[in-house]
Amino acid sequence: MGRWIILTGTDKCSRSARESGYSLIELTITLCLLMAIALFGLKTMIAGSIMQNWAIAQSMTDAYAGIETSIAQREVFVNIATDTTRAVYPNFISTTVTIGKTPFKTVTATLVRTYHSYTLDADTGALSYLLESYVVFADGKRTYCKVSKVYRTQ
Amino acid sequence: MNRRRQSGFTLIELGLVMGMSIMVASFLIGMFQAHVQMLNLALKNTFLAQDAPSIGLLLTRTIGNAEDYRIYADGPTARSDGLRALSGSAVRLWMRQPNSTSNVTSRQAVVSYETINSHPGIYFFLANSAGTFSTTPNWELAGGWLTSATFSVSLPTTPASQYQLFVTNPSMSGVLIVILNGSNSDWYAFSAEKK
Repeated sequence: MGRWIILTGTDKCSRSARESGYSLIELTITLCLLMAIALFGLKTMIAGSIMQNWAIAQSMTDAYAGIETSIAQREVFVNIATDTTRAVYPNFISTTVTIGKTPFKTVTATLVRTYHSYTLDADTGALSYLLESYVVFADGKRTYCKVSKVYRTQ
Repeated sequence: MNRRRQSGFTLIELGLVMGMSIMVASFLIGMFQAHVQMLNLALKNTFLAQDAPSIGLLLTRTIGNAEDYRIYADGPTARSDGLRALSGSAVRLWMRQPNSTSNVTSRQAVVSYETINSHPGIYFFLANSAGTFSTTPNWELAGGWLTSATFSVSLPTTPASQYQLFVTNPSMSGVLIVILNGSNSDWYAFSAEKK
């Protein structure tokens, strides 16, 4: 019987321990442990959230670079040289574009457009251009750049 | 004095421990609220982080196989080849397909955002060899966080602020843009055509 009863009325030492507020210390220790676990969990969740935002930004910039590729492929060839949204390299045209919207904010990026103009081909006499678009996205300290290059020839 | 020490802690000691407990508990409550906030944030970003890129990839692959396309206001109009538009929720695709006699024929399909059997979502209809569409879609992407999908080849007029990206690209006419809208006023745009 004595094996199962830890604290009895006759056990003076145990009684003293039980009644002297040790439970409060135990509670504090438990809460501290819980807090440490919660802190670890929160840190993990913040890291996950940062990764999620990074993935969204990558996805949006990739999609916008794809749009730029489509535009460059579709642009009327004779209009390339007179297109005011581009400039001959090393000059460039830079604009701020909206690439998407999250539930909390509009996502913008800097679009840099330029093109290389090549001299007429000696054999065929064909004129050609290399259209380049750079989608630059700044996320805090880091800056990402997605490139779209389309070669167009007559 | 000795008896007092044996009987338990002093009021100051108890107060100190209780104060510490309250402090730690308040920290825990704050942390729990932060956890809930982070979970909500992650949940709200689900559409952009998971759904939209997957739908975008699927639509790009599907539409990329088409030789030609036309846009319609809605799915039924697209399937009946009705009035065409520059912007709408359905796109009709013309795809080249060799038949049994080695002749290349055109097979048509419709990709649309509509509500079928009370399920809003993206639906794909493939016409039979006679060009007739079934009332049952071949596949569907119903449910989730997607609230609408717009196919467009020119500058959409509404809402202007949402489609700011087109303003800076006036020369983009002819490029098929798909805009996927999520349930938290979020959106994702991509070009869905052969590259």
